[in-house]
Amino acid sequence: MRDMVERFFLDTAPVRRVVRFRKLLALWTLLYWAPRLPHAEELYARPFLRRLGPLARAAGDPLPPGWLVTGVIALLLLAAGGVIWSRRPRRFHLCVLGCLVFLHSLDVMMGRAYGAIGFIAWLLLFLAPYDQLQEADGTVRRGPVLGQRLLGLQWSSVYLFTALAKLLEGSRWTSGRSLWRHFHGRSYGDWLLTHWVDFPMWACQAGAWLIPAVEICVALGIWFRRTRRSAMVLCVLLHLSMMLTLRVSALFPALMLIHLVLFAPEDRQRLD
Amino acid sequence: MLHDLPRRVAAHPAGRRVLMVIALGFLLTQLFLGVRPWLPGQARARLPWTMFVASGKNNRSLSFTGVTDDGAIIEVDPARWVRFTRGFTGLRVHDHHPAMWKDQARHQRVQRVFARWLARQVWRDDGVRLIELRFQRHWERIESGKVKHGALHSIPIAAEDLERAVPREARVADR
Repeated sequence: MRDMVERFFLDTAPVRRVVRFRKLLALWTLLYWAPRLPHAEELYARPFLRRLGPLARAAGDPLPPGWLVTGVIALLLLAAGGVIWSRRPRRFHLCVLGCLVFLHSLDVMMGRAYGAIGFIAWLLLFLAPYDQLQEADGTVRRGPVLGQRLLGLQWSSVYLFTALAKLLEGSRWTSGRSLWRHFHGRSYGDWLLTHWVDFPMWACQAGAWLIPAVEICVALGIWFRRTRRSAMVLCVLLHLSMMLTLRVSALFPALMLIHLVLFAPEDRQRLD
Repeated sequence: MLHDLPRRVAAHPAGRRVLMVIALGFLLTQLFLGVRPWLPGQARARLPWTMFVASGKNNRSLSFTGVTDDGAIIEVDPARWVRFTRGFTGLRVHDHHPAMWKDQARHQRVQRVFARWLARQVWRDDGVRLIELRFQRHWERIESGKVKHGALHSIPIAAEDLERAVPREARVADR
């Protein structure tokens, strides 16, 4: 058992997938933070309606000057660029983490959901051997799989926990009413498909069972070679259907989908 | 020093033990997060990643009006100054910040700060002095479309609340 666990976490594998993931995560970070740059002062240095993270609270509720938060976001964008293009990306990686800790501690509201998932991905990625794709002789390098495994487990846990949370809600979720309200409410619904189609309650009830089932299938199926491809297809369909029915930023599905490269079957490494 | 760190750490037995401890820590954290809904007391918490699990029964909105120093009532739209919207939702921070929807003393303090900031923006950009800012909550039942309006919250604005926001040019002109 111990051997199996050790092999699962400390085996070596070609680094192609983590190198690809590193670049995609950095690109995602650029896309996530670049639109925030012009709003930096409003988001992180506003004197009203703040929700501080524990670090900022411990520091006595500081209100940073606008130029500082703008500078930190600009630095974050540069560092994310460095992670993509530099031959020594790890220094830029630390810079990205520092900027994210600073910004998330100033406003926890911005760091919820996919902001937080992105931050955790950056943390776990540090354990992955993404530094260099090829050896001097041109062959693809190999490295320990720990970072890749933890990133994969974290990604799976998001689907597993969200499915469990839905089922724990009991009849409030399984009756379909919650989904019906999301589809018909103005905050997240009334969007593309839900704007054109009036989803009846029975369809929402079916969806209320189907969605957690799909999420559990994605979370578990991705770990087995036989079901991996189906889990990937289900994952894409799940996010596509979310994008067509709910007002979620395209960055959320993008973040979840870029994790699929960690499971890409290009080098048939034993995952299961 | 940092370059290729995981490979170099994994090359040593002691390093491999550290990596295993990290993996174990990660798994225990996930386990803890998974059992939190069943823990007693303060350790009890919801599961993580509960996006789109619960939904409100209403479409909620806020409206803001200001009373000028000559008694006129004007509409104030915070969206003029609070520009950032969450994703495709169109929700701005005042729409979704919990303090705007609760009435305990600490929430009222937060509301007062926001009202004064808003009054300062009106004074700075429109040159209109507000002596009072009012806001009202509105709920529209998603199922029935029935609309309910909350009480009118009134926040007095003192002259010194505005003074801090007077642009430098205006202050110079005042002198």
